[in-house]
Amino acid sequence: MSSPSAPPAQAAASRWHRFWDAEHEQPLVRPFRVLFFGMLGFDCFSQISHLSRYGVGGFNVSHFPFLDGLLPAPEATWMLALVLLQVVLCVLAAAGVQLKRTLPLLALSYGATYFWSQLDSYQHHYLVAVVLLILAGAAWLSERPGGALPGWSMRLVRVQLAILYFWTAVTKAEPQFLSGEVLQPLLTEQWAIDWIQSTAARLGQEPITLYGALSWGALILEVFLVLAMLFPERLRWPGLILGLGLHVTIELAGFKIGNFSYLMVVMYVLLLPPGLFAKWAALKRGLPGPAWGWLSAAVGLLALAIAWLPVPSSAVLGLLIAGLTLACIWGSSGLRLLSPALAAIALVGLHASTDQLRDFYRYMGGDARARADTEQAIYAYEQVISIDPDYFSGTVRLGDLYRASGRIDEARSLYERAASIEPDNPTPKERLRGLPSP
Amino acid sequence: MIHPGTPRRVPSYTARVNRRDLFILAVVLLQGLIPLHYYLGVSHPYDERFAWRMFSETRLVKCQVQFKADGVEIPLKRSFHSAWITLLKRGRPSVVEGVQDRVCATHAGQEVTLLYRCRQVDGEDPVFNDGSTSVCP
Repeated sequence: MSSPSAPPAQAAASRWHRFWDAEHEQPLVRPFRVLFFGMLGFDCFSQISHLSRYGVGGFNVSHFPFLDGLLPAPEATWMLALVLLQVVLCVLAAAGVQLKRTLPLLALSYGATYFWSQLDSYQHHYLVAVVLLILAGAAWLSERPGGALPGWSMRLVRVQLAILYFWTAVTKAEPQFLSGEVLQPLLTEQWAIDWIQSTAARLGQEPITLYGALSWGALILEVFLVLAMLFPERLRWPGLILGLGLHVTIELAGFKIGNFSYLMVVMYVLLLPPGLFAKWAALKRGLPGPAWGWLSAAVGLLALAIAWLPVPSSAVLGLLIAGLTLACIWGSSGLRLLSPALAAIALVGLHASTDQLRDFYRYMGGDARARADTEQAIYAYEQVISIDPDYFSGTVRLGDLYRASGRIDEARSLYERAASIEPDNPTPKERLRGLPSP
Repeated sequence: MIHPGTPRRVPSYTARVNRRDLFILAVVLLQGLIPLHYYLGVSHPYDERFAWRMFSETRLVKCQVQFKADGVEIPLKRSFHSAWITLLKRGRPSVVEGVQDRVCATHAGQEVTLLYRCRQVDGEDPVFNDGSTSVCP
């Protein structure tokens, strides 16, 4: 501690070092790493269906004008390859595999997919790019084996979140926002709209007054969260409750922000007391053999609970989270050995349980049709049918494209197939009637 | 193995701390200051990238961006992905410029005009280009 007579510069330096020499935050690293990269891997895979938008007509505007002069327009297939790489790297990073190499590669790959084109302007992707840069830098500077993340990196991510909350609060400190006029059209879930209207009626107020009050509440809460992120020792629990409450409410209220709420909820691991995880580590060392059986059963229950949730690919998510949790409990060496297999399960399982790759080609085909590029549309819909042979509307669409390009026999075959997929649907029968006789 | 008498190599603690501190300082300063570009007027008011302006009124801006070549409207949907059209409707200026460059290149020799006007949530309707003059060099 600096003495009262220390010069101001020395006192400031001392405070700086006290703030950043955060070895006691080390126990947060593993749970944050597993949850953050697990969630990020899922988020990356969820982007696949949108990637077909890249490279259409060779047109692109990148985030920085100088990049447009240096790089060609990104192609959908390059982006797809980068995103698949990101999913694998996320699993490796969650497992803590050679972070000195894994994290810079992940940050570079993610930065490329984000900054290369303004087609991705999601603020949460920008936040992820910044957090990855922070973690890659921390791994690079780390003197721990394999670039294991140091405790101060957790503090730096929290400071980054404080900066985000600060500027978001500045945004809201405008009369337009505080009047409630901005919040009102952004709210899309009917239950939330109904609740505001009924509450306003009970209070004898106009709904806009309540929207205004909620806007003020959001501003005050975000200012509080700046402080909670900077001084968790004093504001940890209210910060956790209010911050999680904010992001869960945003998700439930139907703001269209993709996976951002989930990502922010995961980030709140950083507000948990590091001592909690340190105690768990000590407890783990003293656990008797049978307790591991109970723990494994508990993790199995976790997998089942997640698989039961009504979210896409819940079974795969359940397996992945349970696998990561189990390996995390047992120790990171097991997790590292398992990580390539986990990455493979993630890729195959996510593909099998979601429509991301099918929709990648479906959107590509839809856009090509809109631009009257029949050749590209046929290619895309052929991929759609090869991935999902029982996809009714894709089968009809490809039949239409064949018919338009004079491939009548192939069109007929597809309409017949569509009729067998949905026998009660009149569309394929109408299309068949419209074809010239064989 | 360290032999007795060999001077022990002490890790360069100062150098490590300095590199770490510089990294932290760079992140905090950059992230703290980059959003200022929006408030200092360096960026167009509809370009909120990198400013952490979540749920701002700009999100509700609706723009009309229409190019004409020799007086005939150019169907942008035929040449650009619908995602770019969405960004045009949000009035993103760098995207308008990018599309303008492409349109000028594909309609060389013709008089290309641009109508670029928006409607804000506060009721103001700024017109950034009224479509009366050619935008191509």
